[in-house]
Order: sequence, then C-alpha cells, then structure tokens
Amino acid sequence: MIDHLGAALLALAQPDVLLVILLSAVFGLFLGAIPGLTATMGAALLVPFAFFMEPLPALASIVTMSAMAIFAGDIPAALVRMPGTPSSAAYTEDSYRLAQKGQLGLVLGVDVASSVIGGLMGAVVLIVAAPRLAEFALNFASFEYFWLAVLGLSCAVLISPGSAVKGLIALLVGLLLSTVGIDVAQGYPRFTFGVIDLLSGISFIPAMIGLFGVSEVLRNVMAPGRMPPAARVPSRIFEGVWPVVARYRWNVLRSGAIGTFIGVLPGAGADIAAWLAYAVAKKRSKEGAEFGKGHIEPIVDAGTANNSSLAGDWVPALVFGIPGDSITAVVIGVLYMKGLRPGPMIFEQQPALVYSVYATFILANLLLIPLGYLAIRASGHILRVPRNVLMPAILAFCIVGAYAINNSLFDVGIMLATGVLGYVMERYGFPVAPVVLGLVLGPIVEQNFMTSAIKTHWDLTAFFGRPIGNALAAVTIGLWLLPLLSTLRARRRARRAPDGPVPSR
Amino acid sequence: MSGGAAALAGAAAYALTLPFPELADGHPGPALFPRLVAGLMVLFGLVLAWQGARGEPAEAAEGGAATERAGVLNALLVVAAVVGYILVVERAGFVPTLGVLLFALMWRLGVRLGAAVGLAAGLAVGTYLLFARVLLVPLPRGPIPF
Repeated sequence: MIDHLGAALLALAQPDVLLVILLSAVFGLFLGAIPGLTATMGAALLVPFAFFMEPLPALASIVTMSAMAIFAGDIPAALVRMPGTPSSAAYTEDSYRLAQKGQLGLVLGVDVASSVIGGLMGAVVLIVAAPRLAEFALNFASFEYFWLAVLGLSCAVLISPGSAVKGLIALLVGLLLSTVGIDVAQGYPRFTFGVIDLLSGISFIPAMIGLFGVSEVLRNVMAPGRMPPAARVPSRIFEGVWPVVARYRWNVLRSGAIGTFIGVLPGAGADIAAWLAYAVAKKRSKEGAEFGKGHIEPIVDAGTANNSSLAGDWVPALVFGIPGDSITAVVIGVLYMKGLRPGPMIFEQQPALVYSVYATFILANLLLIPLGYLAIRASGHILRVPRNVLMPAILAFCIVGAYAINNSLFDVGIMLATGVLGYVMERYGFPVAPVVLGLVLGPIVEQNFMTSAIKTHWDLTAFFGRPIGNALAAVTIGLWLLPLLSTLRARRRARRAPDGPVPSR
Repeated sequence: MSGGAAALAGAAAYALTLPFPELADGHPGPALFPRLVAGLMVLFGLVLAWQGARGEPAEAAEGGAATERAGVLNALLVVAAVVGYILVVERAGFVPTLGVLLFALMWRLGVRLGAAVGLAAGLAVGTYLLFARVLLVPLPRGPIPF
C-alpha cells in the first residue's frame, strides 16, 4: 500500500497536476469564504474544466476544492457571523462571539487545525476502509445494490435537517425527474412530451448546476444585501491553538470519527456531520450550557467533523457508485464522463487513480495549513467582492458549464428550469440536496429492482433470500420504523406526565 | 400550501403514467416506478398540507413572506436573460450575447454604467478565451467567429 501511495504522490508531483491543485485550492478558498457559495456549487462549476482534464487532475481538483471550501466557510462565520458554507453553520454563533471577545486569531487558528486533523482522519479511514469494503462488495448482486440504494435514499430523508416530510418530498421530486426518458425495462419514452432531447433523460450535471448554482444566484439577487464590515484579522493566528487542540484531543478523535461515519453513510455530508458532532459535544461537555454563547469546544468538534466527512463521503461513491453527499454525486458524474465506472472493480482496474485520490486528500489537507493562513490574511478583501458583479459572473459560468458537457443549449434550459425549481423549493423550506440524490439514486434503484424482478420472474421473496441483502434490508426497514417508534415513545411519555414541564428544544 | 402543490404535482405525474404499457408477461413495466413515486408524492403532499392545517411548524416558509418587488424583478431578469441567451446565442455569437447578458444584469443590480460595460466586456471575452481557446469547448458561434 505504501508503494502505491508513494507512486500516487509522485504522479501528483507533475507540474501540471500541481498547478491544477493549487488553482482549485484558491478557487475553493474563495468560494468557501463568500457566504452563499457552497462547495457543492464549486464541484458543479469545476465539471466543465474536469471534462478537458485527465482523470487524475480532474478528481484532484474536486478533492482539493472541497477541502479548502469547507474550511474557508469558517472564516466569514467568525468575521461577519455568516457561515461561508452550510457546514460552518453549527458553530457560527460561537465563532463570532469569541471573535467579538478579541479571540479572532485563536478561533481562526483552531478552525485551520481542526480542519486539517479532521481531514487527515477522514483520509486515513478512506485509505483503510475503502479497499476492504470493495473486496466485500464484489459479492454484491442486483439485490444488494437495490437495498443499498434504498438505504441511501432513506438516510438522505432521515438525516436531512428540518422537516422530514419536506426532505422526503424533495427526494421524490428527484426520483420523479430521474424517470424522465427511455425506461430500462422496455425502452418506452416516459415524460418526454415528444421532445427528442429528453429521450436520454434529464442531464445530471446541468440539473446540478441549476439546483445549486442558478438557485443561489436567484436567491442572492432577490435579496441583495450588503455584507457587514468584517473584523480586523490579527497578525498572530496560530498562537494558543496547540494547547486548545491538546486539551480537547478526545473531542477531536470523537468528532473525527462521527464526521467520517456520517460521510460514509450515503447521502449525508459535511453539514450534517458538523451538526451531529456539535450535538454530541454539547451533551457530553461539562460546559454544554455555554455552547452558542462563544465557546471554543464546539468549534473544535464541529470543525473537525465537517472536514473528516469529506473523505468519508468518497467511500460509498468509489465502492458502490452511491454518493456519500452532493459533492461526491458530482464526482460520480465526472467518473462516468471519463469512462470510469465507480464500483468495487475500480480498485482493481484503476489502482493508480484510486491511490491518487487518497494522496490528494493528504496533500490537500497539508496544503490547508499555509493556504488557510493566506486565505485568512486575505479574507477582508475576499469579503469585499461586490455581489452585483459576482452573481452575473457566476451565472455566466453556470451557463457555459451546463452547455459544455454535451454542447447543447437544451441543457442550458434544463439548468434554468432546475434552478428555478431549486429556488422555489428552498423558499418554501424544502432542502435541495435530496433532489440531487434522488436523481442519482433513482436509476440505480429502478434498474436493480427491474433486473432482479425479471431475473426471478417477479418472485419478490428473492429480495430477502441473500444474507448481505437481508442485513441491508433489515437496516433499511429499521430506519423506516425509527421515526414511528420515536413518535410512539414521545406520546407514551407525554401521556405519563401530562402536567410536566415542556421540554426545551 | 406547499404540501397541496406537491400533492397536485404528484397527481399530475400519476395521470401522465396512465398510458404507459405493461410488460409482455402482464407485470408492470415502465409505469411501476414513476407511479410509486408519484403516489408517494400525493400521500406525503397531503401529510404536509395536513401538518400545515394543524399549524405545525413544518409549513413555515424559509424565505419569509415579504419579498421586495425589486428583488422579484431582479430574479425575473435573470430568468429572461438565460432564455434570451438560449434564443439568441447561435445567431449573434457567444461573446456579444454573454456580454449583453452580463451588462444587463450588472447594470440592473446597481453597478455603475461605465464599470458595467467594462466588466461585462472583460468577463465575456475572458470566459471565451478560457473555455474556447484554453479548454477547447466548441462554444456557439454566430456570424462572427466568437
């Protein structure tokens, strides 16, 4: 393994690959530091560039960009109380209040340190777990893939923040959109309305650019607000960071593990990892009551968790072709675009590429130390970029990006339609990420169901006839029952103590 | 309201699946998956509407009710600009169309006239050079080569 990693690091050391990594790092830091622009949007905007690159720099650019963007989201959280990406939202209040107390340097230093440690922890788990899981996954047939995709869909709904019903409806919208085009069983054109461009289905990348990019542009131009003045960044950033990290070393380990685990779950990404690590830290800490009022502990926890989830997200994406989050949904699109099929065989057919992904995670997280420092120093300027120039420019990139995949103006139309859909959904409190997961997982669920059903002459008991499939089915059905059980338990508790105090949320 | 809209969308999708054929052995084929999804959409749309009617917080809109008229006009201009781009770009060429789109949006969003002209022209030419010359994307061409 060490030999492979060494070879991968050498492959990354090519000047053109290094240049791509450096440029994507700057792009990621810029995107992350500007509130409203997310790492997922960055991944979608990188696709047209990835189209013209070799697979190695293409994947390296997405890995580097996402690691940088998730860290950089912490900067405006501390400076202007606006999380740069949703992944920093959990600890924005603590970061900002500590900054107001004159500890801005410490907060930003801890942000860098926890991001680097979390990112490296996630990378180690990816390196160790992914090949073993891939060996295991070689035994999977269409039944297992069906259950795995259904498990992914279920996780996406259960863990999505806000109303579970809205998350579910968003997922159904994605699933419905995934059925547009020629069907797998009979080649019948569904929902195409005679439009030839729709026969091959809704192109995933333009839809993704629309849902995450155009909807964001629409949201920004609807409420063009001015950014509050940023606090001055002190010259000493890393001072006092090490004692804090050493003091909370167990938190770092725990949150790194939580983040990686959430990452490995299909459909759950960095923002959920941060919220969960925050919640666990609050429960376990002696000073939990101080969280949200300007405490460094939740920053360590959630800051570690969000970056560690990034590498975890690649585990299901590489091993099963099922995205760990919306960024790896784009990665899967890029792999297919490059003629590479994600799945257990990729570890045998493309070992050099897989090891290069591992090596990029290590390199990107180490680069985060100097580049993160520079980004913090430049943050005052980044935050001053006027939105009325930035938004039209982003729209232009969205248009060209959506067009470049198939050289089709129809795809630009798809981008616009999904952009409006994404905007309307978010405005009414529906999360957009499940739509993307529905679009990716829908064909996997349907194809594997149809293949299995036709193979067994519609003997549906066959779906419960294989041990691994059964285990996946049990976990999936257990997940479905979970909300029901917790509702029942809450009702029973409420019945037992009708006059008790109202529990705080 | 959003629950009702989801239920209606689900019902409409379900109705569209009615002409879908069955498999030769009589089992559901192309219709199975879309009908299941559309049916679930109707069901959970109604659940959401019911939650809303009971005044549960799930119905609360995230963006708030009062959106300024200027903001709506901005958003409509963005949509119109992209539609205009799709309709015009193959006749007028990439750089002029994107330049006009960028200028219109920047000007509308309050960038000063001179700056908007300069930035729009610079960005349109820069995007062209990056995508068409460096990345070799065959961007739409009009009567002029760019």
